[in-house]
Amino acid sequence: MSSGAISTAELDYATNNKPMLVGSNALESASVEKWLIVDTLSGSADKTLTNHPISRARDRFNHLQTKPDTTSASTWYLSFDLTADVADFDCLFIGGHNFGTVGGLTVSLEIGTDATFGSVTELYTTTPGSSNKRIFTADLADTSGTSVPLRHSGERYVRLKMTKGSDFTPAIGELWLGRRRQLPYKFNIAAQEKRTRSEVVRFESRSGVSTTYTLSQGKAMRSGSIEMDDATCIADVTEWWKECGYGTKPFLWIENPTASPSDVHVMTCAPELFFDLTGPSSRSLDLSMSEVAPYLTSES
Amino acid sequence: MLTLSDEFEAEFKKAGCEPVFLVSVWTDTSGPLMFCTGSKIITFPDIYNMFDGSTDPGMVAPPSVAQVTPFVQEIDPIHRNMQRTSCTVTFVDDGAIRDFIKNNRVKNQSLVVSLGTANLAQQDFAPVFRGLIKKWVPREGQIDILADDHSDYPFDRKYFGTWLNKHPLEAIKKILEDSGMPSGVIEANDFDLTQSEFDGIEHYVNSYQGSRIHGSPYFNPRRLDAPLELSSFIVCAELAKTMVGSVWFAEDGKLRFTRFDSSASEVVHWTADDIKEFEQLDELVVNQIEVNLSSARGMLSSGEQLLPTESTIVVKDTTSQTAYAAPGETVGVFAEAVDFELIAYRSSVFNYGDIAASGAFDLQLWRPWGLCGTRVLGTYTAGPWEAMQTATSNLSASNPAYYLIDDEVVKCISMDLEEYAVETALEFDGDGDPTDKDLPVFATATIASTNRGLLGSTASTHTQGSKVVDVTAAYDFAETTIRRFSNGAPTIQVTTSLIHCGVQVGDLVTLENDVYLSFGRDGITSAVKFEVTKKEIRLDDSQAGCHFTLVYAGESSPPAIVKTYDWWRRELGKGLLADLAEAADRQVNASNHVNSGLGVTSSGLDVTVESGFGARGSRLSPLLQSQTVTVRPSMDHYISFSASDSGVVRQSVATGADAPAFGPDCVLLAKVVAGSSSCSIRDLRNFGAIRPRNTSATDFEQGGNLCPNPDFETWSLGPGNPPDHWEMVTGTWGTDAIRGETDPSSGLYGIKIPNASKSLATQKFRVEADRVYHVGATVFGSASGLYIYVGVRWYTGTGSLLSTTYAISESGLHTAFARRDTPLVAPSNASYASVILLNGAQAGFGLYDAVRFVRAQPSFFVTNTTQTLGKSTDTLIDFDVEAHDTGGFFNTTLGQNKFVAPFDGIYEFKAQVLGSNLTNNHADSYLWLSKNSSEILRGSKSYTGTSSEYDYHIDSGPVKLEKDDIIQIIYNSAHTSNSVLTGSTTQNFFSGVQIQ
Repeated sequence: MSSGAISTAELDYATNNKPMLVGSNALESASVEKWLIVDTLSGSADKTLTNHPISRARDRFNHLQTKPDTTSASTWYLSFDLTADVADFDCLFIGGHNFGTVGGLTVSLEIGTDATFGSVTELYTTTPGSSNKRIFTADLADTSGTSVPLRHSGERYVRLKMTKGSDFTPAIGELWLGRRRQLPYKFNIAAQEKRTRSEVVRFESRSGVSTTYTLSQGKAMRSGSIEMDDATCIADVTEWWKECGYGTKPFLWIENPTASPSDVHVMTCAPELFFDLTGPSSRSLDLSMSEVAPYLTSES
Repeated sequence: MLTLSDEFEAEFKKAGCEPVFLVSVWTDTSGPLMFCTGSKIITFPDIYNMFDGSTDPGMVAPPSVAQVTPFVQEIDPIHRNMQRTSCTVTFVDDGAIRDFIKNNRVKNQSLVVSLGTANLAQQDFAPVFRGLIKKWVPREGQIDILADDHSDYPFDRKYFGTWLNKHPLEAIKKILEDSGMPSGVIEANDFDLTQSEFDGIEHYVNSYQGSRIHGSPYFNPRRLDAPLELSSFIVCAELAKTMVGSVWFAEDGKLRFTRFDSSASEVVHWTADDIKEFEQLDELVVNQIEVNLSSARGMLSSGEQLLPTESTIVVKDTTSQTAYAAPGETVGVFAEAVDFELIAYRSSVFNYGDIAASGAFDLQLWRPWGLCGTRVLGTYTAGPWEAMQTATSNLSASNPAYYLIDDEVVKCISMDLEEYAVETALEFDGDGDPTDKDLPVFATATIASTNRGLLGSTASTHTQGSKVVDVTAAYDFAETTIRRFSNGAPTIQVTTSLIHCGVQVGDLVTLENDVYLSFGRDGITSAVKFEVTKKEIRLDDSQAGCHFTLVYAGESSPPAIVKTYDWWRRELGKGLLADLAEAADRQVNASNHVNSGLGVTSSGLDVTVESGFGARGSRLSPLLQSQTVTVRPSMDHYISFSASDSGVVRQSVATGADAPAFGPDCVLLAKVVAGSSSCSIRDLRNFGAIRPRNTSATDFEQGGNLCPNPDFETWSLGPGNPPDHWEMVTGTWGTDAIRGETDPSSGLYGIKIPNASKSLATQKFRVEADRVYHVGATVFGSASGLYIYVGVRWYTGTGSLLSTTYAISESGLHTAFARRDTPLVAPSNASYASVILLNGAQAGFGLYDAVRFVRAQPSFFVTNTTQTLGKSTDTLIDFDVEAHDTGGFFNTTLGQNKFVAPFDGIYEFKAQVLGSNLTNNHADSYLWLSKNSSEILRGSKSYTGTSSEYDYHIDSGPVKLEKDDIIQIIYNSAHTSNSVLTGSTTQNFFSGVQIQ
């Protein structure tokens, strides 16, 4: 259980809005996970609503929510025991939530020293207000101590705390404690942040009257190449590829970590990594990604 | 057509919209899981609960559905069969559906698919499919869930229940509910006979009695009861077909019945703005339709039908057949055959006497309750039947029935159900649990002369027992089909936008199109109506729209057709079972009888028939459980067991009135005389089979009662016919002579002749000429002046009537039954005789019972009158006063005084002359027995104690004589003077008798 500094280079890249890839989610090693209205994880009754398991919070799908039952509570904890094999994490993503709909929430990420959560450290706190937009932060520092973003290792007991002045029922589509893989550059094809695709079928009558049936709209598409020669970055790409199952699992794409951190896309790509040498020590990452629904463009 | 919300229409009328399929999975009656296609999570503030109609809390539908297979509904436009609809929903294996399947027993849970957009409330989505999950197939990254429509409820279940006297729609609903289908998924309006769309078929009736419950189908043709080797749903489809309709499951999961009706209004008119793709398909031509009426559902190993085809109607359009003839040919036949498996209900003619081959007549029907126009509801208590019918269930000019009687089709527009004749039969649900169903036993249908010999048949003679098959539905089906298809039915396929997803199969539509081309048609206008026979909704990566297949339904000025009809003669449809059934109907082997049980008891006015077995002919039918009926007070009730369908029949008459006519299958059990609150019961059961005609009547040997069936106890053909071996001489059985049941002198039955000068007689039986027969009967004449006759008709060996002599010819028999017997001598040239019962010409009715025709022995007993007996000579004694002379073989003429032997045989004679009556006795005088003037026996004498007075005796003992031998008594006087023998009827006699 420790917290370490993130390299200056990584922080600088982020500050300059170089994109991040997040392929791992520390929650995937959870052995115990509960919706609670008390601190103690072990032995306390799980309040998870039937058919809304907590596994939905770590299934890499935004559209399926986990939520607690109808117990009246003004403070909810989504608590985890991540076992000793917990992966490092240094960023937080929350998608598919209803925090804005509930309104007036304070949402915090805490780590505990044991399953009682008798002693906790708050790594991040936010007040979404009336927004259901995705929440992302790459700054998981001890909010009571240093403000320098930290990377956490071996933090077994983690919980998301949601509190409000009155009873409420939270719902979360995805909770992601990720390990960032910072890219040093943007794609060689610039300004793709507006690129989307819609699927339509057109019905055109014999007289020419046309009706457009939309199957989906606003899917983000990104593609291009990023050449890099920093050994750390090259190693990060390789690690990211492992963390997303060699391209078999959705991953997070944070296009502008500083300018618009909440614009997090859940992406998929072809399960083949093109990361060839282009120089003595440089490699070019060729990546073509498409967004997994629900799309970011549909959220407000 | 589905009713879609204004919001739906507004959404889908936009130039662009984002349609999604909403998929709901219900494992309970609330709280479904919801998913959708597309890319958005849809949040519904509230949802419609399809089970109770309430509004439930809102739900979120994530876009976990990758694909939904196209929805296809299709109907066969000719045979009206509907394909089952199924659906496959492919889910992204995102964990949600995986968890759900793991944690829930999803098989047979509800899957609902609807069409809408994220902008619509859940209630405004258009229904597309509702069914039951049958299986799931996990694949890499996907999970397919497959569901079938609600036909699964009845589809895999064979039907074990029955339905009696029901409209086909009522029967369908019963079958479905018996099969476990929730009533909530049955569209109530489609089974509501008051709906105007059922005008013209409200009078239809269907009945089915399954053999699995009642017993063997083998001898039970009336039940149409071959085991149903069909699923309940197929049975329903068969029933629907009889109404030119289909049962199917609509997009909302409701079971619908849709009837093809070319006169119905179109639900939509499509123009070029609505249609994307247009394709002309092969036109359908049917200019000959063969409709088989059959209850057959299987074959014997021999290949014979388990039950016979009752009839086949063939309707042709000769104009069309001529028009479609190939070069060099005269006809082009496009034929379709349709089996009506479940409507071959048979009633039978119950008229007394023949129905003439021409003219109007009242068709009296036995067991009519499977025929159109007979549907009744409820329990028969006080009647009348009309009160148990709805106005539209009766026959009328607009609701006619067509009956096939033998090979003649008649049309009937009026029918009267006979009151007080009720059969209480058992109707079974799907689990084999019975309920009582009251049914009419008899009906009279009025047939006008102009309504005979219809549909290509020929008016002909019919007799009691002729089969009556209802061909109304078959006729309607054939007519409808020919009218629609004989000139070629245009068939097309079009694709419309999703806004038309509310159009359903069976709906009629019109459209405009300039592409269509066929004989007589260049394009299609709004004058032509089409039936939607196939509907497919597609919403996938390549297509979004509705595909419809349309088949010509009719038009404002349809081409003329010329119909002709052919009928299979009934013999052609017969099989082994038909023959066996006929044998049972005709009671070839045995009469109706009780085999065991079936005793009748009462408690108050409740009359209970205990379980047991009754037989109609050779068919034994069980009454598996006791059955109780409530009889009306202050009436006489005749309780029978219907061996055809194991029902209890009660026929009621006024107290003391004559018994009614009984159906041919009725096994009479008891007469119940009901008072105001209780009953007395007379047991009329006849145990054991009576097997008629084992011995020909003409072979009856003398010695016993030669009159066949003399006590009228054998009625192997039932009361609708004269008793066995008797036949009408003058008059009609059933009118001029009937079975007398209320008050026979002995046994269960007698004969009642209610009309003047009517008679019936036995079949001929053998007699011997000149024999003496004792002939008599127990008789009653209701009026003092009414003459009752019982006589003998004598015949020659070739059957020529010689004469009729009467043993009874008497009036004044009105006080009580009287017994009369009289010896009659067969004429010298008689070989056969028959007994005749005859009412005199006077008013009143006669009752006849216990007829006797037995051989009698000739005998006589005569006394003398005063005569002078010559001296010293033989004198024939003048025995001329007959005390009796059976056979009349004694001649009293003076000088004859003889007995002439009528037959060879052994005779015995006695004679006596007392001395006190005779002057000039003499010790040497004597009597002698003369045979052909020769002395064969000299008598004895005895001294009386008075001087010179002797009594003279003859006691012959057995004397062998030949026919025509003459026997006389001679007095031989030894006195020298004449004697005078004084006549005495008490002291002098001559008697004789044939003893062998």
